[in-house]
Amino acid sequence: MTSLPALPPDSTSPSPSLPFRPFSRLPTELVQHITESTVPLSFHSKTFTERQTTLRSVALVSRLFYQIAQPILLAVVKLASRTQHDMFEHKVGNNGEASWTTELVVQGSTKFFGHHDARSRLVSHIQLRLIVLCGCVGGVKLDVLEGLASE
Amino acid sequence: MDPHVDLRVLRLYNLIIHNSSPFVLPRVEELILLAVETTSTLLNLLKPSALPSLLALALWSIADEHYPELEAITFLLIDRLEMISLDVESLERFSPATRLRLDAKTLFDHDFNLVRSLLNVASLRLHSEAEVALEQVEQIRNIVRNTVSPVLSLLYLAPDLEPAPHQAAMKNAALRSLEVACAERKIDIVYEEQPQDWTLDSGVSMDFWRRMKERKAKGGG
Repeated sequence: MTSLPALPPDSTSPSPSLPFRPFSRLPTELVQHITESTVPLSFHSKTFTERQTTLRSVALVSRLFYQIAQPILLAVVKLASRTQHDMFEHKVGNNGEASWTTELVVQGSTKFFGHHDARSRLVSHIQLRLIVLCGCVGGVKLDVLEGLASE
Repeated sequence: MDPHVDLRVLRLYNLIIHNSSPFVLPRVEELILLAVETTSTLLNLLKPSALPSLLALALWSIADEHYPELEAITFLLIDRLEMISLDVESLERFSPATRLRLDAKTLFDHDFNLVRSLLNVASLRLHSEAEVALEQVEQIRNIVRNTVSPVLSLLYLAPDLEPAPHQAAMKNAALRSLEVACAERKIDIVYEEQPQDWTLDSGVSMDFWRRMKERKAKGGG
């Protein structure tokens, strides 16, 4: 998992005009533990949709929860359409968040693995521990995976 | 080695693997191929130099033309692997010598509805897409009862086949009698979650892999 974000500024005397936000004052480690305990950390078809929905909700609790939930959300990614591919690539491409993804499930698309520049695309995904490719139209060449696993 | 390079698990389902330049996936430990076709040879994909860390291999619904080389691959890999998972249809295509060699570390998968015998394998996993009916449980129980000295020692079933109060009374009784029949024949039943979607989830039995690891640690495999 990526390094923990810094604790939010500790304002010991909150302004009475600001609403009290108890979640924002929880220790980062505790928020991390709460978030990770809320969802399965690995891909499973039965739990995936609920996992992602839950993490998106958790991310709305506070800035700290967002900072912690977002890497967990992107740790497991399932791409089943061209649109999802494009959104994912745009998301991780802009922010260097590709390194958060450790499990990638690709269903019925060749954007990563059939593309002529697949190897260079995969270089930014070197933290991948699990790849599932299902029904990828056009097939795959396994040498492109060396982008993830070369010395 | 780059400390971030970490691909450990590769699952390929329902696709064509095209011939490519030689590759090495140095840390892949688990490989699943289901209904995979290849324009190369399976030997090219599975040769030890390409997958030097491979420990668990699952091959399901492999095209008929690949079986001759699969037999060769089996002999090449069997000593290095900790476990293999194959569909039971493979049995008919392997020679007796290969079957014997495989049996010690292979979990065979079989459709619950198609079981007619215990197949002379040590480890068998029964799966069913639909809910298993009472009659099917009774049929398996009768097969176990009628097999005097089964080779089978491990039977993997889905957790919803474990006897429990929430089951219908007759089915619960049948499941209990299946447990008793298995105990009498010294067959251990393992209730383990099975993939909901075999084309996305891992079909590798973690319990079986653990047992094989333990056996290997004791010098038995």
